Amino acid sequence: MLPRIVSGLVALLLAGAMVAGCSGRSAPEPSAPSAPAFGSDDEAFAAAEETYRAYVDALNQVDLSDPATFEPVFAWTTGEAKATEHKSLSQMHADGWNVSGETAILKWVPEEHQASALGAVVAIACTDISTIALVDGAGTSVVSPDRPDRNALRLTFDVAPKSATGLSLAKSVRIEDAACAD
Amino acid sequence: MRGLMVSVIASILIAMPATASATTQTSENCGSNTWAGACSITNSGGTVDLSGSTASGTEPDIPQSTPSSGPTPHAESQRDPCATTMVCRDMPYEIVSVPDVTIEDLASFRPAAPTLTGEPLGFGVVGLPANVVAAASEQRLSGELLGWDVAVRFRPAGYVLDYGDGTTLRTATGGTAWAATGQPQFTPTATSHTYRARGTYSVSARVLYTAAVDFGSGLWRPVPGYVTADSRAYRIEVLEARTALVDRTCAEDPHTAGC
Repeated sequence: MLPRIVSGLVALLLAGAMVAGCSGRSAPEPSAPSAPAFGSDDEAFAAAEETYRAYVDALNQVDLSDPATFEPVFAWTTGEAKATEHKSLSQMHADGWNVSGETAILKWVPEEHQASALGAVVAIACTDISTIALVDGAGTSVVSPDRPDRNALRLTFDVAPKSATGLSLAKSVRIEDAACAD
Repeated sequence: MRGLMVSVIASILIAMPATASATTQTSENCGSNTWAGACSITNSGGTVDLSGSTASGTEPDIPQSTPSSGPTPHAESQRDPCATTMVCRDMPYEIVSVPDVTIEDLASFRPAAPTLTGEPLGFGVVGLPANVVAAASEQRLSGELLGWDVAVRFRPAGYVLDYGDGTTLRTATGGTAWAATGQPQFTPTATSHTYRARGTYSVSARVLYTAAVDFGSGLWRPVPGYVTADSRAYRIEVLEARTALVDRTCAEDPHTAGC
């Protein structure tokens, strides 16, 4: 019997055969280094606005007599902003103050997004706090006569993997903004 | 809150170029504390941010051996600061300088370990490049440092790959996958390694992060030195390749010996 004619001569690298031919494994796909958190500036700013609106909603739900209502505020903040809220809300709670009314967002202006990094998003918000009343235990207003009705705030957001929007409010600094003036 | 505060960055040796600007922003954070009227803008010059940089540019020459203490005013420099700076007139301010930070001070801030993988996954061939890919990305952590609220930024600056056979490679890049660049298998890459003998090797990667700190001024101050993080080990089995003539390929007949 003549040996069967070998239909093809295939030189196989052992490892090549194991990886590509038999084991069925596919080539690994390492995660890209330094992947930015957001695909575009628009996405980042949308996430920042969503974060800030959620934070303001949380502030509007605060009942100073019930510290459990502070938690959503803390959850949307980080760093300096969180420290401020901890201090401010717990102090008002300890002093027996009561708050009513709501913060409204009048304006939202995206400012900066560091697309190259997993870093900050910066935006300007104009908020209206004119309806907010703050009284002490005796019912006397503790609002300063100098309190402005509107605040222009430069907001900085940091990436927060645990946040639903991927961001947390890290800093909120009042600035002068004529468009937000009373 | 620090109230009216001049934050003087860069160890107030203001022989160096400095920029000064009277800003109209508050130094405090504005949240629920605005309800009572805090966070008002005081545009009377009562709040001034000063920032400066060292003459050498972005890398302040902070000696690593200097033990860091808490915030220490550095107003006493060898030179009379009033001779060179505008901040020495009647100053209704408290001067606070942020602390010098050394890399050792950042011990409590741990950036993430790099990921490490390779191609072909888990295998290599003697005499052919095995690709190794490490990846790390920028991270920001916040916390307290030397009594100050601080944000710390880590950026990957380099990698040290230990291929497990006594060879190490220092590289600026973590490497790229063949699949990602469309290169065929066993193409040499910046991070690939050619093993000379069969065996199982444990590959590891160390990422070197540069660090910078921001004490709330918005200015990132580089910290000299590196913070490192090590990957988990990646085991690679290096096999010898032998050429053989076969009747059919493994794809055609998976039950043939050797498949």
